[in-house]
This record gives sequence, C-alpha cells and structure tokens, in this order.
Amino acid sequence: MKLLITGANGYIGAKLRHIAKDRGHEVISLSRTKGGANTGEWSHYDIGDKVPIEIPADAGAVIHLAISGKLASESDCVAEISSACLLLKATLRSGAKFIFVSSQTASKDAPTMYGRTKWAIEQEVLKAGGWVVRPGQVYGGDEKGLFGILSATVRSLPVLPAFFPAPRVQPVHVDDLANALLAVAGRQDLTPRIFCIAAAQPVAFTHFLGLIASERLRVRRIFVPVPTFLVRAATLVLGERISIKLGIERLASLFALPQMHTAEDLRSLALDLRSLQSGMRRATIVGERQNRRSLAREAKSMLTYVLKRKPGLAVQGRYVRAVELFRSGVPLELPAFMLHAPLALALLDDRGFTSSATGKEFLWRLNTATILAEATTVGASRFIGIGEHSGAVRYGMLIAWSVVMEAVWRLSSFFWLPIYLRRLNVEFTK
Amino acid sequence: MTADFDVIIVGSGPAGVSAAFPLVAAGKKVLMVDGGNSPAGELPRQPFLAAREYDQEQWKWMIGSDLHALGMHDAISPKMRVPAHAKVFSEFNTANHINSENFVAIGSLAQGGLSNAWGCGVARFSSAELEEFPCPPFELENAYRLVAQRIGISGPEADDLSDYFGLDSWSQPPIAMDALHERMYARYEKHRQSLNGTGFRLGRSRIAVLSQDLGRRQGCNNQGNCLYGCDRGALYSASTDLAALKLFPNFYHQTMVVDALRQGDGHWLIEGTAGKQAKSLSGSRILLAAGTLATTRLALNALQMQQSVRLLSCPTAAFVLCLPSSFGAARHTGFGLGQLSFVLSLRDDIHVLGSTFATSGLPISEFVNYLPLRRRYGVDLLKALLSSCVVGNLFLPGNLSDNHVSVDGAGALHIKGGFKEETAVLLKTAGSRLRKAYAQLGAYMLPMSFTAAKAGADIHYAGTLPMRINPVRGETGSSGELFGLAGVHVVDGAALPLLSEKSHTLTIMANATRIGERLAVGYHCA
Repeated sequence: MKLLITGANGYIGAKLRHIAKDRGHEVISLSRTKGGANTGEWSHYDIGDKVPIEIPADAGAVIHLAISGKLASESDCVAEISSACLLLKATLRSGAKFIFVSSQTASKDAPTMYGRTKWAIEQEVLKAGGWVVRPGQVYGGDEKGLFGILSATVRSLPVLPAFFPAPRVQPVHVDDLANALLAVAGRQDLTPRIFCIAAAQPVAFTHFLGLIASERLRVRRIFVPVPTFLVRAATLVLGERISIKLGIERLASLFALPQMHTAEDLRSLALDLRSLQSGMRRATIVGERQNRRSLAREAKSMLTYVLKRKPGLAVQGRYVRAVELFRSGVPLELPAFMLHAPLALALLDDRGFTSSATGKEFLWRLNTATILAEATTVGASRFIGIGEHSGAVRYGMLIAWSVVMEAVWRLSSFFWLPIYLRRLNVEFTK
Repeated sequence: MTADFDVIIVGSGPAGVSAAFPLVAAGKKVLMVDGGNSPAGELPRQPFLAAREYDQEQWKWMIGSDLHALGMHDAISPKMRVPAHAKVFSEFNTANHINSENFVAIGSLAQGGLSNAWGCGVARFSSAELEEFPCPPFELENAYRLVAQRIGISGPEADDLSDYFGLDSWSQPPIAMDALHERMYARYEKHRQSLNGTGFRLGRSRIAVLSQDLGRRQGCNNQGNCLYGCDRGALYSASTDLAALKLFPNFYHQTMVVDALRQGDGHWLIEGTAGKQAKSLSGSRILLAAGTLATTRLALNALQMQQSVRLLSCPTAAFVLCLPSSFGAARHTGFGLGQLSFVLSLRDDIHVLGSTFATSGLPISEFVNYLPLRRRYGVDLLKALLSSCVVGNLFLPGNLSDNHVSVDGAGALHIKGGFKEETAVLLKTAGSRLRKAYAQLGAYMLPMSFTAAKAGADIHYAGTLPMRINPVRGETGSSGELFGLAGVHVVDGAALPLLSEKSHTLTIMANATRIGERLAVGYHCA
C-alpha cells in the first residue's frame, strides 16, 4: 500500500516509516526537512503552510502525525486545526484513508490547549469519515518525544519525584503503536471511529519511571514523594505560557489523564501488546546482554529455590543456555523481590499460576531448573540425600515439614496470586 | 539381470539381526540397511551413586552435552530423555513419514533399533498362544532356544512364573534384588497361598541382561546405571549382534532409509535415501524388519492398499508402591530394570503382566511434577519417601487395543490410537486388585499414583500384517511372505498373529530366526 506520513521524522513517524517499509509498503514522507538518510520518497510538507497539498491518486492512507511545535495561544490552535483540515480534505478527495494520530488527553475540556486542539481536530476528522487513533503513553525505541524527555530526566537526576496521589498512565510501545496504525490503514472490515491504543491496565507513573531506570537505563534511582498539588500550584503561579515553556504543563496534563478503555479496540485490531517490562529493554546488542544478565539472575533465583542453596556458576550457565536454546531466550518477568529472595518463588509455584497461559513458561523453566539442579553433586545430596543422614525420624520430619510449608505457601498464594495476576492482566483461572 | 544381493534386510534391530544369522551362516549374500544413527552417547563411568556424589560432569550423561533432556520435557518416558539414547529415537517419524493421533508412535533409525533402549523383558508365548502361528510349534520352540542362548538372559531356576515365562532352562542365574524387593518377595513366600487364590503370582523378572560374562559383554555388577547406559554391555542390544554379523564376509551393511519397494526384473528393488543421496539396491528377497510401524508403511504402500489395518499394542499403566517397613532407608545402588514380575488373572482369558523397579536410578525430576506440592517441598517429600518406594508397570493383552493404521495417497502412514471399550474398566480392576495384593506384601500403592498411559506408550506394536495359514491381501503366510508380493517377507512385530500381555521382543526374534532358517534352506510356503 502507498502510505503518506506527516511528521515522518518525529518519534512515532520515524518508527512507523521503518516498520511500514519492512512490511513492503511504499512510504512517502511528508515533512519540513528531508530528515535522516534513507528516508526514501519525500515531499515537502509544513503544517504552517496554508497551501493545499496534492495527494497521489493511488495513495492508500494518509497518517497524520505532524504537530507544529508548541501550542501556546488560541491562534496557534486555530492554525493547527485548519491545516489539519486542509490535509483531511485533500486526502478524502484522493479517495485515501485519513488517519489522525490524536492523544489520550484529547477532550473538549482538557486542561491543556494541546488536548483541546487534538479533540477539535478529532471532531473534524470523524465528521468527514476519517479515522482517529489515540495512543497512550508512548515509550521504547529511540529516546525522542515525551519518552525522550523522561529518559533524559531519569538519566540526569539521581532523585526522582514519586507523585501522589499516583497519576496513572497507559503505556504503549512505539512499535506496537506503529503496528496498530498499519492495522487501521490496512483493515477494510472496520468502520471509521476512534481507536484507543495502550495497555488496558493503567500503571502508576512512578512505576513507569522506575522501569525506565531499571530496565532501559539500568541505573538505580531514589524516588521522593511529591504531592501532585504542588505541580498544579506551579502552573497557576507561573501562568500557562511559562508552564508550557518549562514543560510543566505537559506534566500537569498527565495528572488529568482520563482512563481509556482499550481492550475492545486491541481485540478488533488483533493486537497483542508487549509487556511494559520487556518493551523497556533495548532491542540491540546491549539489550541482548541485558537479557542474558537478567536470565542469569533468573537462573540463580530458580536454582536456589529448588536447591535450597546457592547454585554453582556452571549450572546457572546451563540454565541460561537452555532458555536460549529451547525457548525465546527472553527472561521471565519475575517480581524483583523474588530475584532477591528466591524462596518467594513459592508464591508463583502454584497450580493457580502454572496452569494459566502465562504460567506455562514459568513451569517449563522450573522443570528445567529442577532437572539441571538434580544433575549436580550438590543436587545428589539435595535430591536423594547422598552424604546426608537418613533414618525414619529424620525423613518423617522432612515430610511433615514439607507438608506444613506447602500449606503456608498455598495460603499465601491464595491471597497474593489474584493481585499479581490482575496486574499481569491475565485471566485468573482457579 | 541378477540381483545385487540374495537377501536384503531392512532394519538392524532385534528382528533384522535374528533373521540374518541363519541366512549368513548358510552362505547367502546378505545386505542389511538401517538409518545409520549411532546409538552411542555419553555413559556414566562409575557406579551410579558414586558418580552422583563425585562426578562434576554428571549432567553430561544425565542431561547431555547438548542439553538433550531439556528439549524432551514432553516425552513419555525417562528413557527418551537419556542422552545415551538421543540418537535411538530421533528423526524416526519424519524420515518414515509417520504421523499419529492419540497414539505414541516411536521407532528408531539407530543401529540396533529400539533394543538400544528397551526394558529387556523377555518371555516365551505359551503353547496356546503359539497355536495362532501358522507353523509347526517346534520351529518356534527351537528358535526361542537359539535366540535365548545368543542374546543371554537371566532369571531364576524356578519360581511361580517359571511356566509362564518358559525360559528357565536357558537362563543365567538371576541378578541380585535390592532390599525392598527382597522384602516383598519374602512376604510373598509367606502369603503365597492366599495370593495365588486371588489370581496373583509373583516371581523374578526374566530379562535379557547378563549376570555372567558372555563373549565380549560383561555380566551385571549391580552398578545401577541401567537407565543411563551400561558400559559393561550387560543389557542386550541388537547392535552387539550387528557387530558379530559384520565378521562374516558374505554380510554387508549400509546406511539407507528405505522409502519404497519396487518389483524389478525377477528381483526386488529398495529405494530410499542415504544422507541426502537417493539410493536403490536390488535383492532376490526383501526382509522387512524396520519395526512394526515403518514396516507396515512400506508393505501397505507396496501392496497399494488404502484401507486401514488394525495395529495391536498393549494398554499399559504405571504406579508407585511404598514399603513403610523400609521407610528412612538410605539410597543404595541397585539394578534398574525389572526385578520382580507379577501375573494377575483378571479373567480366564485376560492376564496382566507387570514388573517392579528400583527408584534409585530414576531422576526425582521424573516424579516431582506429579505431586500436588510446590517444587521445593516436593523435592523434600520425595527425598524422604522414594528410598522406600518401587515403581511398577503393567501390560494388558494387545487385543484390548483399538488402533488403526492406513497410508494416504502420498504414502504417509497415519495411526489412530484407541482402546476397546472394556479396557478402562479392566485397568481399574487391575489397579484395585494389585493394590490389595501388594498391601499383603507390605507395599502400599501411593494414592493417585496409578496412571494409565496413552495408546502406544507401551511400544509393543504388532500384528498389522499377521501371519495366517490362508492369508489374504494385507496378511502374510507362514514364512512372513506378504500375500500377493512373492519375495517380500515381514519378519518383525508386524507379522505376529497375536499380541499377548507378555513382552513380545523375544517372540519377534524367535519368529525372525525361524523365517531366516526356512529361507536359508530354501523351504518356504507362500
């Protein structure tokens, strides 16, 4: 399909262009400058220009991502809306689909001009039979856009604010968003409407920042509680203009995010979003090394859980090798406390989890850890008691102990698992 | 045009080598082809418990340098996870175009075939069972003796199962039992009368394992490595016989996976591949010994027969027995294959045969997944419990299976597994009667441990092309010759006219020997 993309050099645009080309689409970038190398076909497009643009007759869809810098005044907004309308009309004349990338903040009475403008454009687009995509908090890939600002902030500040009451965001990986846009462009069986694309379950903004630190930048950061009203107060004191300049306005808009109901839209587009934790990792050689490091931590934790003592390095290496050889090579997303205290894996080692779809992989790895742990000299004493005392009393106590501990952990899992699984966003089957 | 060989034998497993000996001895020019996989893998080099305690590299023979066992989580038997057997089972179904539904289909492309990994159970079919064979009984009786003496079997001089197994006169002394089995057997001798009254008989397992040296193979020294591979060669594998056959100048051996048979000008052609190379060879006679499944596929394709035929297999189950009187015992190295066998009569015409095994050589990982306990505590429990446990299996007669096989237009073999309706009830009855019988022996069946296996898991496949006095299409004559395809003989399990609950390997070997002898002297009736 021939795709025209405005804002093709931006955070989302560049990624979309890339993925679209990989899928065999023909991409024409509409932007002010030609941008980076290998951009392929390019036409000049400036959202500030008031000249009508020509859309080729064989275009399949126009994806409108461009935005003119900062919307600081009413007139900026009007200009933004009218140039979007120009593009919209030109597109519909050509017979192509018009897909407008809006925002989670879009609403008639959004606290920011940005949100109100996006909403106004949405209305025009929908009226004319165009399509709207509202992404959540976009992250991953290059450090550009808001994600770039957040990454840079986390990188440069040793102490980060943990806002309370906690604002919640609905993340979406930039690749997943690109896939969603291509799906909307390609699907013929849907009717034009608003598609909300983001994780169905919101996560705390602090958690989001925490993952940027731990998974992407691999740094430790301290979070200091900051009441959200301070930020609101700052915008009032500084006024809208200065707030926008300082980026505080964008922050403030976070606190007023309406929750989007995305599950239905994701289903209708047959999209399966990656988890936040895996999406945060860089898909590069660095990322692979990170994967392996996480796998090694997982190996140590799983093997310690089974062996009841620290496993040797060699057997940990075999675990990593096995996961790379027979599975995806991607580490499990075990809660951090389980990596520090492997005994806590007993919470997950429960039929309520291992029989679920997500738990299957955990079970495979637990089986692998068991087989590997057993085939060691340490395992020989742990599993069959070589070199240890035997005897009916000792063994009797061991059995009693195992039954009691099983009961304790089963009870713990009973209360903890539903909470954990809700967070994982999977159906709880028990 | 003359053929390249007098006889081509497809497959080097127990059936193939058994048919080959008389032919080679009679001076026939014999070619044997097989999949060429070498069964050798890494073996433990010390007695099992010592190896577990000291061998830092034990993962190499328990899991494999290539982590073989971890890629086989879903396999049905611990045997299939053993690195030494990796090459025994691999690639068979793909290479032979076999697919299955509700059926565990297993075969081998290795030299020596499935015998590289068998449980070594041996038995003679009773005279009543042999009546189904379309040949004079003495032919098979004689062949049983030849095979038993060649491969070496061990068992007691006499016990309650002497008549049932019928092999004692050719046996080496039995291999020592472990303490748990000694204890059960001592209790059995006390309660013999009442147990026999309920149809339960107990005796030593008869196995193709040496207790004394035979040729180059050494007798068992109870080192406990049976599962992972015996470096003494005490367990019979047809690969030993293959090595012996190779000493004959008129015996030839090549690697080739046979895909089809074709009638040539007064001889038969086998066509297939060696590596990636297409290959074709000719012989005056073809003996199919590729294993029941592969043989059936070749035969049905050669016959151009599309309708399905029945495949026999023994419904099977497994269970765990615990001896509280031995609770708290330390682990001891012990023999890893069947130590005691039982026969249970369910009805006049239905007997169950099973054996019990030591648990010490089996990995705990094999059990822990079945426990309703967290891994960490499951290991604790099994560590304390398994030293006083034995595992058991049982087999029901093959006529209780309901499997069907057919070839499709493309020549692939489809297997559809199932059981006769009464099988589930019979298994359940067998389970509860065994529970009672073993309780008398001081061995208690662990709750929920009695598990019936999927069809085919027994790997006692047989009877797809049964020998009959008056064969029709899809059957074989008294020399295993396929009706309608003169010169093509079926000498493996496919030709058995019945499958009892007994391990059928020795009977396959005896029948192959018998057919080989007939062909050696030029006597056979179509």
